[in-house]
This record gives sequence, C-alpha cells and structure tokens, in this order.
Amino acid sequence: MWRDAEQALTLMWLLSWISHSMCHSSPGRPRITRCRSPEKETFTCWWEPGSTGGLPTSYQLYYRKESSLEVFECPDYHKAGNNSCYFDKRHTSIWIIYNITVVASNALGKAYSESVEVDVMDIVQPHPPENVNVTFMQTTNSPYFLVQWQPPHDADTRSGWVTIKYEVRLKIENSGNEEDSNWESYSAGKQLEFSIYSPQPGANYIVQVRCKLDQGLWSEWSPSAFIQIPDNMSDTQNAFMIIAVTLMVIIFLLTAGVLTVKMKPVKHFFLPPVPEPKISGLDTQLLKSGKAEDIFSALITPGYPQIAQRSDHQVEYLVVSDYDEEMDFNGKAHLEFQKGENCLTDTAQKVSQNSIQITLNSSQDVRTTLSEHVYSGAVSSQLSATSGVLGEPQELLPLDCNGLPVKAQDQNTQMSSGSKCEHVSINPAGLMGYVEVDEEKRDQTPLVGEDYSMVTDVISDKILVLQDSIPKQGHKEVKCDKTFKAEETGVVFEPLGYLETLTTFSSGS
Amino acid sequence: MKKTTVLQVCVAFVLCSPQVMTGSPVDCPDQDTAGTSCSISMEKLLERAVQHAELIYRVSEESKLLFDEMLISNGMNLHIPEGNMCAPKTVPVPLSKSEIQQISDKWILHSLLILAQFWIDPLAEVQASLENYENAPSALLTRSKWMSTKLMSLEQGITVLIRQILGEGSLTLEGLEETSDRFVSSNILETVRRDYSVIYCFRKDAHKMQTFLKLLKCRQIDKENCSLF
Repeated sequence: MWRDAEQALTLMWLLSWISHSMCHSSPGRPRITRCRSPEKETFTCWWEPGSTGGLPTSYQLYYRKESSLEVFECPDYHKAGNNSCYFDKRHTSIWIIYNITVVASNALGKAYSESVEVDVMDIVQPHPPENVNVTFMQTTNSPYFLVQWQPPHDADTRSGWVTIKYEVRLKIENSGNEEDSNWESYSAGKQLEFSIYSPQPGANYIVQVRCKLDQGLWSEWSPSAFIQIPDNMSDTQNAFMIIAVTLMVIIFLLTAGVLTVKMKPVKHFFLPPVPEPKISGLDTQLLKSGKAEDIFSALITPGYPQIAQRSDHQVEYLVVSDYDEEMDFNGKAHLEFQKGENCLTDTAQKVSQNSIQITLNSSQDVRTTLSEHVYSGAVSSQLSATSGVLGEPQELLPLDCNGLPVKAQDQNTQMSSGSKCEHVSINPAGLMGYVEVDEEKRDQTPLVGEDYSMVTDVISDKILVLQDSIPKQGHKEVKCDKTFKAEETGVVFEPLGYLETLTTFSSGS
Repeated sequence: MKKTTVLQVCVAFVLCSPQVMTGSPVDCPDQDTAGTSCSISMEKLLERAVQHAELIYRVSEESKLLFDEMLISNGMNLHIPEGNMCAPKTVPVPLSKSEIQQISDKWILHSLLILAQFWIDPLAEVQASLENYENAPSALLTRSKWMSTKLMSLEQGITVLIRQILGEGSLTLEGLEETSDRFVSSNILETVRRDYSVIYCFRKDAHKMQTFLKLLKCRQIDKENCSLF
C-alpha cells in the first residue's frame, strides 16, 4: 500500500511537472485585426494575441514606412486600450504605406504576426455623430418631426480637409409585434438636421444617424433617439376628407344627370354647330317642301311666274339645234358638264345622236329680235349688243343674280343633287343673238308667264331669251338618268330653279 | 405696333437680366494680361477644380476596384507588393495635414501641377494597353479614357489658378520624368502589373490632388474658418 501511494504520488508529481513544463512555450502568433483612422489625421491598430505559452508575454508593434527601411516602434500603446497602438498626428503620414508587424515575446521565444500594409486614406472611419435629438413640430396642415445632430468632435470639416456626409434612419417601434419593422434610410448630405414629414400618428419612432468622410467607411450608428407622435391630429383631417369626397361625388352625379337630360342644348352650347352653306334668302327647308313661290319670293320680287315645281332643280339648258348626224363634231365646241364619270361614254353617244341645234335664222338680214325679260330687281347686267354677236364668237360666262360671273362647277353643286349625271352639251353652230336688256323693259308684261314655248334660251336665272318667230325646234336636255325626248311642237324644258347656263361659244369652223 | 415693340423689349430684358444677375463676375486683373480676355472669378475656378478632382478620385477608385475584380475573375492572384509600387516623385509632397497646413499656397499649387502633369502620359498608356486585354470590362475602359481627358482639363485649370493666384506664367515641369516607364513588355504578367500599379498609384495621387485643392479653396475663400498655419 505504501508502494501504491508512493507510486501514485510520484506519478502525480511527474504529471504535474510535465504539464507545467509543457505549458511553457514560445507564444503563438498574434494577429492584427484592424486599423482605423477616425479623422484622417491619426490612426490606431488593434491586434489579438495568440496563445501566450503560459508565460508572461509582451507585445511590440514595429512599423516601416513605405520606401525606407528604418523600423520604428509604436509611439503609444495605451491610449487606445489593450493590445492597441495609437499613432498621433506627428507620426501619421497620409498617402504612404505603413508596413506593420506585431511581435509577441516571452521568455521562451518570439512570435511575429503577419505584416499588414496600411494606407491611412483607406482606413478612414469616423466616430458617429453626436447629440442626436428629435423634436416634433406641430403645424396645422403638415406636421413633421425634426432630427438634429452634431458632427463627431474630432473630424475637421471646416477646413476642407474632409468632406462629411450623413445618413438618417428611422423605424417605428412595435412593442407588441414580434417581427421587426424595417428601417427607412434617408441621405442627408452635409446638413446637420433633417425633417421627416407625415409621421404616423400615435407611433413611436426610433431615429439614428451615421456619417462618412470622403469615400471612407460609414461610422457606427449613433445612439437612438425616441419620439412619440401624438394621436389626435388625424381625425379632423379624415372627416374633412370624407366630406369633401362625398360632395365631389354628388356634384359629379348631378352634372352627369343634367348632361344626359339636356344633352343637345349643352352640346350646342359647347360645340356650336357649323352652319351649312346657305344662300341668303333661300331656305332649304322651303326647297324640300316644294313651294316655288316661297323660294322665289325670297330671291326675287313677287310676281315671278309660277312654274311647275320639281324638287330638284338641276337646270342646265341645252341650246341645241337640229343637225345632221354627219356633222363633224370636231369643229364645234362642247361644253360638257359632267357629274360622274359614267356619263362619259353615254354623253358622247347621246350628243351625236341628239345633236340638235337651234339655229336662229341665220340670214344676215334677219335679225331675230329677241326680247328678254328681266325679272329681278337685282339684275343689271347688260348683254352686249347684238351687233357684236353675229358671226363672232363670244364668250359668255354665266351670270348669277348680281351679275357676277359664276363658274359652272359651282352652279352645279348649288343645285340640288337629284340627278347623278348631268350632261349638258352646248353646240353652238349657228348664230345666236340676244337682245339688249333694258331696264325700261321691265314694265312689259312678262311673256313667259303663260307661254313658255317662246323661250329659246336662258342666260341667267333671270333672263330668258324669247323668240318671236320660231321655227320648229326643240330643246333637248340630255340627262344620263332621264330619258327625255324633245317634243316637236313645244318646247319643254326643265322648270327654272336657279338657272345657270354656261354658254361658251367658240368658232370651230 | 407700339405695344408689341414695348412688349418685345420687356421680354428681352426679362430674359437677359437673369443672365446679368447670375453671370460670372469677371476679374480683369492687371495690365500684364492686356489683350487677353477677362477670366472667371477665383471662387468659381476653385469650386470647379475641387469638383473635378473629387470626381477624378471617385472614378479612379472605381477603376481600381474594377481592375481588382478583373484580376480575380481571371484567376490572376497577383500579390502585388504595394509597398514600393508607386515611384516617388522627384519633388517631395507634404504628407500630413499639419505639414500641408504649414506650406504656402504657392507650394500647394506647384505640387498640384506636378502631380497633374505627371500622370497624363501614364494614363494614356494604360488606356491603350487596356484595349489589348482580352476580357477587360468595358466600364474599366470607359473610365480610364474619361480619367485621362479629365486630368488634362484639371491641369489646365491648375495652370489658370496659378496664373490668377500667383501671377506667374506657365510652369514647366522641372523635375525629370523617368521615361523608362515606356516599356512594352511581351510578358503579360509584367504588363498587368504595370497597369495595375499605374491605376493604384494614380488613385492615391488623385486623392492628394483633391485634398490639396480643398484646402486651397478653404484658404482662399473662407479665411476665417480655415485653420491656418
């Protein structure tokens, strides 16, 4: 037993001695954890020690500057705490590389950390902003709260050495919920305050600020500032909004109703209808209703002969004379009104077939006296004297009421568009004449009232050319969609509406 | 007619007057520059120079990061010893805030000019060299091109500043540049190393230029607030 105890004791003593001696070793390698410069003028490096080897270990920090081989030791081991080295302003150079090594040494040996290369401009991280406070500003319409802070005390922002930038973040404190609401971040530039508008009423806000120098690292977030938003501001606003919205809906419905009921007058009020072209004095309604009296009474003095009415007044007058069909057409002038292309071929044929020409008595001795009657107060046109007519081609433009020449096309369009294809061909071959219009002749009783067979020509809507002694002739109208045969005995022509006739005479022979 | 002419005159006046109000106040300094046009005010010049330098620095930082990414993605583990990479300039440049605050405006301006003139050619070379890379990111190419052009305009600005603040004529670079930089190496690794060192060191010098200009601006414009020497 003695032996066993002795053995145990020696064993234990051996073990303890061994263990005691095994713990002592050279230290493990320390490791430089980080280096930071809070204002780009000084910097600090921290390291973490490796294993101590059981013996008291001391640490030294040595550094080299970029291009020199001289080794320096850390100027201040204590200012920044344990296992740190603080480089003050005199020892800090920017834009050069520091090559830093930490050495751990104890009685048994030394251990070198890995070297770290540091440039001060790359390790800038400022302290957080100071004195962050939040105040709630209650203005009537737009409440907000104002966050204010101070820059970190060691950053030199005034001389331009560093340019500082801030960032604010806030979130609503949900004490009840388990999940965390998210932070909202806002960049605040260089200013020292920040306003947050439209806060949630009744909520608790947490506000933090951080800063950054130049392109460096962001600082830590400042300590939180808290604010509570009062609750009562929302109700009046909500009620107001509801009332306003309902009022607008009511107004909208009313206007819609009014509009649907009174569509047309409102529409006419906003978009007045474009007036259709009109002849002054002439009413299209009257035209349609078919009372010639009314129509003409507007245009002309009453007493205009009553004519059998037709609803559409396409009046073109063909002045035609009987001709042999072998007559060469080329020598004649045609004036063809054409409305619609499909009339082309038809008209050609028709003209050839139906070419009848009125020849006034072509002997030079006889002058046909034609009387014209002018029935209008407005017409003052005077046709040229007959002497110039015979044998000479003349050109007559159709005259409207006021004696102004009117183009043929317009006249066609003015007439009501009953027939599709109007063909008027005028073949002047013989001599035509007309009579001077004298104002004095107005007093004469109108011939035409009773006997339209005397009319040989219509020059304007007021002028009918009458013929005293008329050989049997026929007028013919050529119309594409109406077959109209000339009657031998009488003269039939279309009733007069407003009559424009284009007569063009040109000597073809 | 009269009314319309009056109206036109008023409109023209209104349109022209803001220009007059916010127009640059021109300095016509001294009779030495007779014949040359009036220059822009110094505050505006300094403001523009500072903005230029800040922007150049930011772009150089991005270029360096892009270059790092390119190296990593190409598997080039270039452990470039950063210690002695940047060639020291012939003229020493102040290296701490206290040092900088002790030197004069003249010195700051000269340092700025030296730095700007030094980097124009290497940047152009690097830009040409980057075009030969196989998969250089286009962002890097555009940035290097941008930097060389902006640096030239910054150099012109510094020259103008020297003329205005110091009244000197144009300054030529007295220190000799080592023209040994112009090597064309067939070794890809060497070329990459050289390009990287150019970008790395230019970034540092861009930061220097930015800092010098900011200090200079504060000194020239806001003399009371800036901590003087």
